[in-house]
Amino acid sequence: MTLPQVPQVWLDALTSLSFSQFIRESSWAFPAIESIHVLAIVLVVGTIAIVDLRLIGIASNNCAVTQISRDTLKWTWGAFILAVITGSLMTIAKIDSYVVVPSFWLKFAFMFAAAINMLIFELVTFRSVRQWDANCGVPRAAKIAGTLSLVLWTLVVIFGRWIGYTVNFGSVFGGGF
Amino acid sequence: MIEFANWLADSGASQKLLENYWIVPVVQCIHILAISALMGGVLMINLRILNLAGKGQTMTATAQRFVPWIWWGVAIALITGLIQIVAEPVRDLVNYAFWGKMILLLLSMVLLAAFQSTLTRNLAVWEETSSGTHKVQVLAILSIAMWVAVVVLGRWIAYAQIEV
Repeated sequence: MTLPQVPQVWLDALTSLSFSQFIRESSWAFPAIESIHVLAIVLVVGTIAIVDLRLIGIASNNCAVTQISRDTLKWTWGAFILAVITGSLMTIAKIDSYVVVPSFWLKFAFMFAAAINMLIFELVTFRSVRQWDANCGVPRAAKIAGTLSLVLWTLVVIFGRWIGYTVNFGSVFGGGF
Repeated sequence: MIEFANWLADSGASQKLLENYWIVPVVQCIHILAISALMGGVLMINLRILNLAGKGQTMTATAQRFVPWIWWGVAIALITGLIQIVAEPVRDLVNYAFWGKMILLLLSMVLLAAFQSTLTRNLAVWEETSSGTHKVQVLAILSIAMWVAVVVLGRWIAYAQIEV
């Protein structure tokens, strides 16, 4: 697998930042940031899944789609911001060991795909929400968006977890997946 | 506990799991996804009690929607957790983070069962109140805090191994 090439000067600049050095050298900083990262991701995926399951028609079918997104969305975004902050700290601190890991790039590729899926849903499908808000007649496009979202976020979690295994067990899991 | 962990580590099941080195990471992914599903439910029920989300639904409807997902999430997390323990017994069983997590998990499960039971016994009361009473709201905050600690300690297991 050919991975994107990041100039060595950039990698050096990021890893030599003082907070990067602190995170690498501290005995508690990385585990603490990582724990908050996992917590944030669990909440992001958990709340997104609630909306996805409603769109697909598996759960919360007696609750309006707009209602359920209003209840969950602010928590999703709050947790997402937390995940971005903690994720950035970890990534910058050890960027040189991450850029060579396929799972790292794949995770972001799937996150990007999830974002596109969400944008299409928001800007196109969701516009007609008033016609299918309260009943079960969710249009096919919305069901597809919900399914895609579940699949893509599952992949984000899987490849996110796999980064740790490829970084620490490079010889076992190899450069490939 | 160290003797037991060592005995388990020497067992055939543990050896088999480690030989197939992909099993532990795969099982961990399922573990995290199950926890995501249950944490979504934990958040929504407790926010409903705190009057911060789900006001359009009654407490009973909210519980009916999310409580089964919490129990199923716990069940899958227990199975996948057990596989991880068998694979790396010393890493998990000789570990303060692990036992802290187990205690808080047990307390969280007791609290959830108690909530379920009071909900069915006092159906009318819960149906009418828009949110929990003051005492229940304190328990809701406690519940969120305990589940958050379960997740954080779960990740911390990897860093709290005791050298034996």
